[in-house]
Formats: sequence, C-alpha cells, structure tokens
Amino acid sequence: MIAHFASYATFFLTLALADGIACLGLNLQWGWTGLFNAGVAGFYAIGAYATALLTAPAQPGLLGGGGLPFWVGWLGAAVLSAAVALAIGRPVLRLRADFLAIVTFGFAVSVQLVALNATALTGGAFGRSFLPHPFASAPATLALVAGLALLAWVGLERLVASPWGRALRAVREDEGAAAALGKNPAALRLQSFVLGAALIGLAGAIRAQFIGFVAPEDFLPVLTFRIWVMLIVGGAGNFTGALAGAVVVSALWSGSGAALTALLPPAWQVRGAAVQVVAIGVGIALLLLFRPRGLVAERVRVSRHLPPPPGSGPRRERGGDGDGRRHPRSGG
Amino acid sequence: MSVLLAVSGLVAGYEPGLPILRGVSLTLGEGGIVALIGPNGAGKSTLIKAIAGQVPRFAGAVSLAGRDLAGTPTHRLGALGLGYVPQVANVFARLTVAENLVLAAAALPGPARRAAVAAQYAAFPDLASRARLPAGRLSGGQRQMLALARALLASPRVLLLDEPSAGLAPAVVSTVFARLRAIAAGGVAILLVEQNVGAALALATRALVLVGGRIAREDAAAALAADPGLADLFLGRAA
Amino acid sequence: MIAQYVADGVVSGALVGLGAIGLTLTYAVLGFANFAQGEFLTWGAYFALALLSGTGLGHAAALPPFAFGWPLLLVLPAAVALTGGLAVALDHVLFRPLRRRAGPMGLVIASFGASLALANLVVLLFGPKPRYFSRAIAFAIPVAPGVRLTADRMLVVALALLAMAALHLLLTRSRLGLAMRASAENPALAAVYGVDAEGVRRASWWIGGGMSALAGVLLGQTEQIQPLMGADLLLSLFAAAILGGIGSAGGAFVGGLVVGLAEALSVPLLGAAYRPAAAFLVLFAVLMLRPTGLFGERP
Repeated sequence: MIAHFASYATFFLTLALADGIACLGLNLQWGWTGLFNAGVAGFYAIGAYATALLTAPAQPGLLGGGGLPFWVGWLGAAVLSAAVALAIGRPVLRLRADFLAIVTFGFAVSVQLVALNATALTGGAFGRSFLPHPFASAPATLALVAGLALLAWVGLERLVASPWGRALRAVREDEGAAAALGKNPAALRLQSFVLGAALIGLAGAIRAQFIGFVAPEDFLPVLTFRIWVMLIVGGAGNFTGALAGAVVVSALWSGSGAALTALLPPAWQVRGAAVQVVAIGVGIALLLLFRPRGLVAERVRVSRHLPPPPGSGPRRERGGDGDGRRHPRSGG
Repeated sequence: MSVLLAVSGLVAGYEPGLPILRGVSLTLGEGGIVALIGPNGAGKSTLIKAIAGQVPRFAGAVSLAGRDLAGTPTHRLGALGLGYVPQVANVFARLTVAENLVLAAAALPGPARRAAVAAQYAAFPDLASRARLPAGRLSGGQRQMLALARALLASPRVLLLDEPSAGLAPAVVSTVFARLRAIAAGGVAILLVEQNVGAALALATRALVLVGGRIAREDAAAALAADPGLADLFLGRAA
Repeated sequence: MIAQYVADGVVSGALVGLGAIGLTLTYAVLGFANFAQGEFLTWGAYFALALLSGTGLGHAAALPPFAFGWPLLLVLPAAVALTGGLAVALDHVLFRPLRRRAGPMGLVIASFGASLALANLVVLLFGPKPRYFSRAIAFAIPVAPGVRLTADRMLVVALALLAMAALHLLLTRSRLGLAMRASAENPALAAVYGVDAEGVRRASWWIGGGMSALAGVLLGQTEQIQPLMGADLLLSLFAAAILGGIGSAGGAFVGGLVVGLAEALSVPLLGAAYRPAAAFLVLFAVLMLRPTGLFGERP
C-alpha cells in the first residue's frame, strides 16, 4: 500500500513539476512581460514531438527515430521550441494583447493539426511511442525533473532581479519611459517570449519522455488552459507561486479525475471527463472573481498608480503604430 | 440666490487610501460662472469628474437643486439637469454630428427629442451644416461647440466644463467663451476648470483656487485677478 | 471543379460571417475577445435539437426543396432567444463581476475557461456523438455550370445576408445601435451622453449570442451537431471579425466570405485535413499587413 502510494506520488510529482516548468515559462511571458500566450499547448507539443523524433527508436514508415539519449531530446526540444518562438515572435509580438492571444491560440491549433496529420513525422492520430525513460528508476527521474524545476526557478528569480529583469519590468510598467532610457522594448519582449517558450518546450519533452509516448489529443486547448489555471492559482508575476500552483492544480486535476473514475459507471466515463473540465472552469471563474491575484500574490507592487495587478493584465495595450497611446478601454 | 449645486466635505480619488480631493465644499448659484483654478495636480479635473460621478466619492455629499446625488450613476445626471463636458475626447469621433446629438437626445422624453436637436442646430448653425460629417472630422472649435450643444440638449441647470479651451486657437477660445457667457446669462450655472488662469478669471464671476485637494481661496474673479499673491497661492505658500 | 469549391466556400463563408457578426458585436461593445463565442453556436444548435426532441416534433416531414421540416423553423427563434439568454446569464455571473476586478485580459482568460466548460457541459448533457436534426437527405441542385448546391445551403447564404443587413440597419438607424457604437468607441463618454452602459451590454449579448445561435442551427442543419462544432469554428470567427474590422457587421460578413473561400480553396491545395489552418493563415496574413486589423480603426 505504502509502496503503491510512493510510486503514485513519484509519478504525480514528476508530471506536476514538468507542468511547473511550463508554468514558470508562462509566468515569465505573462507575469513579467505581459505577453498573452494562448498557445502554450503549441510549444508544449513542439517540445514533446521534438524529443520523440530525437530519442525514440527508428520505426518503419516514420521519420526521425534517432534513438539518441534523452538529454539530447530535451535540449533539442527546448531549442526547437525557442526557435519557433523566435520565428513567430518577431512578427506577432507587436500585436495588441488580445490579438496576440488570438494569434497564439491559432498557432497552437495549427500545431495540433500538423501533429494529427503529418503522419510520417508525428505518427498521426496514434502518435509516437517507445520514448525511452530517462532512468530505469522513477525516483531518479523525479530527482532530475525536480532539479531542473529548481534550476529554472532559481535561474528565473535571479534573472528578473538582474538588470535585464529590471529593464523588463520597466518595459511592462511604462514602455515609453523605458524606451527613452535606452531599453529596447521589442528585443526584451522577444527574449522573454523565446526563453519562456524554451521552458514550455522542455516541459513538453519531459512529460512525453516520462509517459513514453506522444499523441495529438494531449495538446488540445485544454492543456493551455491547465497551465494558465496553474499560473492564476499561483498568482501571475510570482515564480514560487507558479510552481506551487502547478502542484496544487495537478493534484486537484488528477484527484478529481480519479474520484470521477471511481464513482462513475464505465458508460459515463467520457461524460465524467466533461464534468471535470466544467468543474475546473467554474472553479477558475470563482478564483478570478474572489482571489484575482492568486493564492500567493506578487510580493512587490511597483507603483501605487497602477491598480491592476499583473494577474489581471498589464496596463500596456499597444497599438500597431507603437506610439504608446492606449486602447480606449484600457483607460481607467 | 438659490443654490443649484452644493458640494460639501467631498473626499474623492481613484483609490480609497489615496484621496486626491481632501474635503472640498462649494456652492453654485443660478447664472454664475465659477472658475476652478489651481496648479497642476491640484485635483481640478478630479473635482469635476467626482461631481459627474466618474471618480469614486469616498465621503461628503453632492446635491443638485437640493437633491442628493449619492448613488446616482453618470448616465442619469443629464436628465436631472446636470450637464458635463469632459476634457478633449468629449464627442464620438466615429459618429456623425447628427448621430452625436440624436444619441444625447435619446435620454429625453420621446416628444421632446426632435425639438431639442432642432434647437441646438438653430443655436449652432455651423453644426447644422455639418450634420452628416463624422465628428472626428470637425475642427477643434467645432468639436467643442458640438460637445456644448450636446450638453445643452437636455436643458441643464448646471454645466460642468473641463478645460473648454484646451487645444483651441486663441480666436476660437474667445468664441467659445462668448458662448459660455450667453449660456450663463440664460440662467445656467457654470463650473469650469481652466489652465489659462487669466482667461478664466476674465470670464468668471467667481473663482476657487484649489491647491493640494483643498480649496485654498474663494473670491470674486476680479479680486483674484488683481491679487499679486495668487502666484504664491499656486506654489503652495500661504498668501 | 474550382467553381464548386468557390460555391462551397461562399456557403461556409456565409456561416462564418453570421457567427462572426455576433462575435464582432460583443467584441466591440464589451471590449474583449470572447473565446466562448463559438459555444453560442454549439448551444444554439443543441437548444434547437432539445426543443425538437422534447416536443416530439423531430419527425415531421421535410418541406421540399429543403431537407428540414416546419418544426425546425418553429424552434429556431426559441433556440436563438435561449442562446441570447445564455449569453446574458454568462455575462451576469462571470463577465460583469470580472469587469470591475480584472483587466480586459482577465476577461479573456475567463472566457477561455467558460468556452471549455460550456463545450463540456454539452458533452455531459447530450453525449459526445454527432447528432442530426433530421435524417432526410438533401439533394444538390445545379445552380450554375459545374456548381451544385442543396437548397439548405442556399438558404444559409440568404439568411446570413438578411441577418447582416438587419444588424447593419440596427447599428446605423436605431437609438440602441447608436448607443452600441458609442459604447464601443468610449464607454465612459457614452454614460455622459446618458447611455445606460449595462443596458447596452445586455442588448449586445442578446443580439451577439442570438446571431451566433442562428449560425449554429444552420451549421447543424447543413453539417452535423457535435459538442465542438463551435469551438472548431472559433478561429474562423476571429479571423473574419478581425479581417472585417471589429464592430462592423458588413465587415464581419465579408471577412467570413474571405475566410470561407480561403478554407474551401485550401482543400485542393493542402488537403481537407489542413482546412482549419487556412483561417489561421488568413488571420496571420491580415495582422502582419495591418497589426490593428485590415479595416480596423487605429486604437
């Protein structure tokens, strides 16, 4: 019984911390830079398929199958995800926040479509399997993932405390003033977006490697929503909260799933999954309504003139001409 | 003189802990023009907006012709006789001149609407000839006239104006001010915020000097205009 | 061959346009991108389905040349009204309280969650399998050399045009329409003009939800009814609304036609599997050319 519990806890924590790494990446993008990435699932998928292509053994009829060590796959996942973020980030980060959300959402939908249809590369609807486990022992894998999450967490905390982080913050608070001080807002935003995407891609790779296979239905918009929920629960702008939120939400997610599996007759299992998403949707609505800054709020409030916390969106709403004029609705 | 607008002990601002207005009282009577002057950041615009219900009021009271305005939303004020012309973006640029007026008239009882719009066209012929033009294509002065016409549609008893001269050429300012004098002569009480102190004191009958969210001085406009201590008052030094 | 693709594109474009008219209206007046708009299509279709089976009218004979019977016409207004009510209710419990507490992007996240919850509520209530209003077979009629369309699909185009014209008249000729356009431009100033912002928002949800429900019922009649039918169309709706300029009914319709044509013509080029990506490519191209939308106002 205890052994069973320990092995489940290891399994659970590994996946929760993988999501935590994605949540850290999203927090850099949204909490610290104000970039509304509604395409988390797209970058997650790119990371997962990248490691599948690099590390899975060769299979007839499928491209890739490099059979390389897992760490090559993870590195490749982060690099590929970052490269894609760099390619699409350059044109799309100039968009106003809501358009950026729509475009990144569409990006993720398109990535999922490729995953489903580019059969030679992705294995189509069946996905790709036989990804090698990082280590034979699950606790060792957990230790590695926990180490990576810790590294990402500490690294990001140090990064945002560095001059680069301060410049990022200045851009978020007042783009015009930051530009006047010689910061390059476009470059800073792009760097943050790319770094965040690399972490999300790494998270996808870790999850795929640990489970041993990838399939397109893992990268539906509900994945994007799950990572966002983690960030909201943890409190946008707060890296500690992002990790804590990932663990808490993972627990609620799999706990409610397990409860429904146990309680519902088999014929109702599909509907049970639906109940879960409805419940989580309602739960997050209640959280947004009653604890809009998350369970762990951002520690520092930069300016008393800026009531909206990062969780409720940065004030910046850029127009295409980038002259710093505000969208009519953003005025308080 | 009957009191039309009474403000007492008004505390208001954007955040409860940080009031911008810290206990402002004033009264406005029929047909007078009261200028609200003061240094930048004194809270002049905030005072106008707080009266118009666009900035939260934390304490104090505002009443219009004896009626307490607590809890009255902005969109009901016009019907109660309080006209408000915000600073700069005070007309709908994407709606035509006619649509701007028709929209404002929609708040009036049905039969009065058509006549109210016609009356404004008669008073502002420049607008009548440009009725089908989007308001965004009007000149600054015409736009200010449209904003005034819109506020006058509902026959207000009190008119609040936030920097009616902002961004206008001097010749246009004098046209606008002449219009305001005529409106006041018709019995409307006007409270206006102005950056241009000289012009404001020449127009107004009375003036209030707002410094740091409080009324530092209240006097006849002419007396204030002649007072050499006004600059000290603006700088926060006791006069 | 190409002519048939064009005709199919016009039909699906009209449907997208119809759904996008609802989206563009709420987007403009409420000021945020509602990711749950697709679910109003879904719910419109399922409301109609539930009314048909609930009243036992589902088996009435078809009205030639159409493949549906009079009961569908009977329940259509009710489904539209119910969906409008659903949109208002959603605003009341979720968006309206959030408007005061969270910025516009908080509303977007909330709508994302609402979208998933509403789609899964449909799965819960009706099951995941596709459903149909009727089993009647629609016969395609030759309408031009090389082009065949069913009467149902021609009706889609006609109704979409009618709805667009009606909304255009509402926005330009009625006091409510004026108030909506004013609220879209500057809600604070609208209040100064005497406009009751809450009333305008409620009306926008009724109309926006209802228009999308109409699109959903028509989509259900010409294709199938399934829980993700609206979610699958969301990207196309956004592309059409942004292409046409947020807040413009005619623009959304034209945008819908462009998206529909792009999707239909992508089939011979990329294969049917990538059809949904065409909307994304259109959206991407538009925003690259004009980051504020093709006919969009400068912010």
